[in-house]
Formats: sequence, C-alpha cells, structure tokens
Amino acid sequence: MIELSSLSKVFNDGRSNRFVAVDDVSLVIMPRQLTVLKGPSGSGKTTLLSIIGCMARPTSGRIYLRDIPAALPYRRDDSENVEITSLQERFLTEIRRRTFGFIFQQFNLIKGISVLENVMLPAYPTGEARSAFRTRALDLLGQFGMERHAGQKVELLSGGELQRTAIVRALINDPAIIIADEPTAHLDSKLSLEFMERVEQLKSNGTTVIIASHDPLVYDAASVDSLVEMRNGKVVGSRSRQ
Amino acid sequence: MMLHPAVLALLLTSLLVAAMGLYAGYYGLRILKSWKLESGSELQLELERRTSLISTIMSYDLFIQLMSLFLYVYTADSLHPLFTGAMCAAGVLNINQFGYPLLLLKMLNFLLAGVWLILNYADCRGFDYPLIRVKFELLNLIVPLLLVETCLLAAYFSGVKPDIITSCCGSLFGHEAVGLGGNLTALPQQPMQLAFFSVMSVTFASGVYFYRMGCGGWIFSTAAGAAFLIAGASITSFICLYIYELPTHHCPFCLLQKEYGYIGYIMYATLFGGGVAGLGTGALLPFRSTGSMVRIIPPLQRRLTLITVACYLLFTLITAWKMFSSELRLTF
Repeated sequence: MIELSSLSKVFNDGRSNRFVAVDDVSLVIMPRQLTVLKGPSGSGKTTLLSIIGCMARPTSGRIYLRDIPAALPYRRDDSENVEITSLQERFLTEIRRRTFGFIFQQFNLIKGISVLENVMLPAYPTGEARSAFRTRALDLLGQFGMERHAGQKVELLSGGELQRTAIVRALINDPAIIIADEPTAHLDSKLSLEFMERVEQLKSNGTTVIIASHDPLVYDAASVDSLVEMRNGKVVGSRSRQ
Repeated sequence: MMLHPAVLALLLTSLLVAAMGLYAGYYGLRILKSWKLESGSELQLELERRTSLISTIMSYDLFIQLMSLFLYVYTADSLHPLFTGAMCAAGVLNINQFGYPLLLLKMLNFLLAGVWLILNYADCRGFDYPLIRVKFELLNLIVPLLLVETCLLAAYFSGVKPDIITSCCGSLFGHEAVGLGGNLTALPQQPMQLAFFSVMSVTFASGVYFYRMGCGGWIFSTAAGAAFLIAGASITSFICLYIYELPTHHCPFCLLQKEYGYIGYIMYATLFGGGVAGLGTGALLPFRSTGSMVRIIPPLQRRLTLITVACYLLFTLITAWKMFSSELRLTF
C-alpha cells in the first residue's frame, strides 16, 4: 500500500504570496486498486499526485511504500518498507523510472519521432538491452491495438491513439503504480469510457492506478475502488467501494 | 607577505575551505541537534535537502584540502632560492614558528579529510542516511582544525619576508638538531629498517587476508595506521640516505626536488593515499551492519584495502629499489 502521513506542500513559504497546495493530507492507497482523487481545479490533486510520483517534494510529511517493489539499490529485501520523501534525488530517479508510470493530461508525447520510439524512451536509461524493450514495446502496442501505428509519427495520431500511446509508454518499464493526471481532459465521452476500460484492464493485471480527475466519467466509473475528494488542499471525504 | 602566485593560491583556497567548512559546520550542528529520520517535520525535510548540498560542497572542499598539502610543500620548496640559508622546503618552513606546526596540522587534516570523504562516499550510497551522525560529528571536529589551519597559514605567510636568514636542512635534520627533526634523524637505522619492512609485511598479509576472508579488518587498519607512522619516520631515518647517497643527509624535503626526479611526491602520495585508505577501512568497520551499509561497506572496504596495499607496495618497492640501486651501503 501507499501510506501518506501528514503530507503538506507549501509554495512561496515566508512570502506574501504563500500558498498551501496540499494541507496535512493523510491517506492510505491500497495496492492493485483504482483510486481516484476528485476535486475542482486548484484543490491540490495534481500537486498530491506529483508528490506521490516523486516528481515534487513535500514541505512536510512522509510517504511509505509498503509491500510495493520499489527500485532502490542496497535494500535488504523487497518486503522492506520504503519511505520515499527522504530519498535523495539519485534514488528518486530510479524509483520514478521503474516503480511509477505516468500518464499526463497533455500526454507529453514527443513530436517528430515515431510511436514506437516514444514508447521506448523511458526504457533507454534503465540499461536494459534495446532489443528486449523493443520487443516488449511492440507487444504492448499490440495489446492496445496500436501495432500498425508503431512506425507512425505521433503528430499524425488521433486523440484516442495518443491516449493509448501514452498508456503504453507508462507501462514500458512494468511499473507497480500508474499515475494519471486528468487523463480524459482532452477526450470526448467515448474515448474517456475507452480509457476507463483500459484502466480496469491494468487493475486486473495487478497494477495500482491513481487518477486525479474532476471528470464524472472517471470518478463515477464502476471500476473505481476508492474515491478521495479534495478541496483547498485538504481531503474532505473519502469512500471505498468494497 | 610575499605576493607569490602559489602563496596567494594557498591563502585563497584555505579561506574558501574554511568558509565552506564554517557553513557546513553550522548545518552539521543543526543536523546533530535536530535530525530525526522517522519524523516528517518541515525541519527534518529541510535538513535532508541540506545534507545533500553540504555533502556535495564538502566533497569538493575537502578534496581541495587534500591537494593543498602538496601545494603547501611545493610552495615552500619553490620559495627556497629567495631565502639566505634555505636549500629546500625545510629551511623555508623554518622561517618562523608557524611553518612546521602548520605542516603537521595540514598532515592531520589530510588524514581526517580523507577519512571523512570515505565516510561520505559510503553514506551517499545508502538511501537511509546510515552514517549521517558520525559524518557530521567528524566534520565538526575537522572544521575547527581547518579554521586554525587558515589562521596559521595567514600567520606563517605574513611573517615570510625575503630578508630573513634561515637554516638549511642539514642543520634542521642533523644529529645535533633539536625538536622533531632531530628526533627523527636520531632514530636508529637498523631497527627502523626492521620495523619498516615488518610493519609493511604485516599490512600486506592482513590486507590480503581481509580482502579474501572479510575479517580481521581492525588488524589491517591498525597495521596500515602504524605503517603510515613508521614509513613516515623511515623516510627521514634511512630511506632518504639511500636516495641522496649520503650517510648524513636526512632531509625529507630534498626528495621533492628535480635532482632526485621529484621522487618525494610519489612517495608521499602513496604514503598518504595508503594511510587514508587504510584508516578509512577501519573507520567503516563499526557500521558494517548498519541499515543499507550491509551491502555497501564490504565491497567498499575491499576496494580500499586494495588501494592501501597497492599504495604501500609501491612505496616499499621504491624504497627497496633505492636501497639496492644506491651506491651507499650502510653498515651497522
């Protein structure tokens, strides 16, 4: 599980424009489940997601990964709990690369290169043989019905194809946790529902999925296991669907 | 004060090292006072970020400190033509009362800085800050010494004036000399040769054993420390006699001159390199079972052991080569 303990993030601390983006959030995110962070713009969803995904550091508080394989060198064993907010940057890089997969609001695919190269990009720094992750990328593209677009440049893809490419890229290093920030913001209803089907598929494969969204098609989906409602940086409600 | 480029470089680097040391020492005290890894407080998270910065700064800072020992000796040696009576660095260091104490302090700081760099190297590889306290405790011991060194350096060079008449190394390291130089010169040569080759043999044997078996680290580290002291004394006692091929010339500084192929630099570099690596191996021993160090320290110690043995072996081979190739034969 991912355990958040009294997590806060303050921007411009000590200045007149001090802003508390995340305010004393404590939360438990269960493994192999779909958790949705719901709330209006500015409620702190994206900031919280960034902190969980090691892309930003909190001002205070801790995040523990319990029984989640975290790519950390010199651990005694994989069952050891890992606290990620205290880690130095060199360790966070590896965790970001291997433990988390990211799907961004704008998808952040790189124009000018092919779908296959976009998908393979996060795997290059891992040191794995190119042939191995190329095979894996093609296999994943096949699973998402994208194999015929592998050689195509991303600027020629439709919205749904861009979204599927982004999902495949997030999966290339076989992460334990997928983090998606407003993934349906630029999709129509049909594509949004298709996205949620893909997410359910990931969940059934044992991946933990955390989505920040204020789209009802996401937070009202039947596949959501846990819904966390945020407002003004605070958790104002949470419910589990078990 | 002489506005010699090397003097200015030494003063500037010393000021830089001391200033950075003060900054690091301040945060070191805060870390020692408030560090609580299990806490997620704002202060703790700030200290975690700060420790990363300080470790990086001090890595460069103390590396400069290591180099400054050689620059200091080189500077003293290069200034000797300016002073009546000085034939090498020995005379220049004797110009006022600060030269030799400063040299001894720089040697001590070299060893401490080297050990700190080794501890820092190990600590930075662990994700759980395993050596954070010991690292900053040692840093807070080093920082005052760095400040004293800067003061001594300023006092020494401010008293260096070209009209001073000083002594030559022959009188400073002669049998009639008083003080440390005289004491080192007076050490009996045959027992010193025996002690030198014995302690080196023990260091090599214990090093190979520790490298292969992973135990006996304390014996190896103690032997490496003893070898450092005995080899250092042996240079003045008998090694330099074979290099100069003169039975009465005990100066440990003339080795640094061109006439002797600058052999002193490689001998001192291997001696200090071996000393630091050997002492560093011992400094890591108490932490072999601390958190993530379980998998970091043993291979690091093996590498340090190899470095120690390689450095001391080179030192011993140079010594043996000079003893056999020298025209001088000492009879006891």
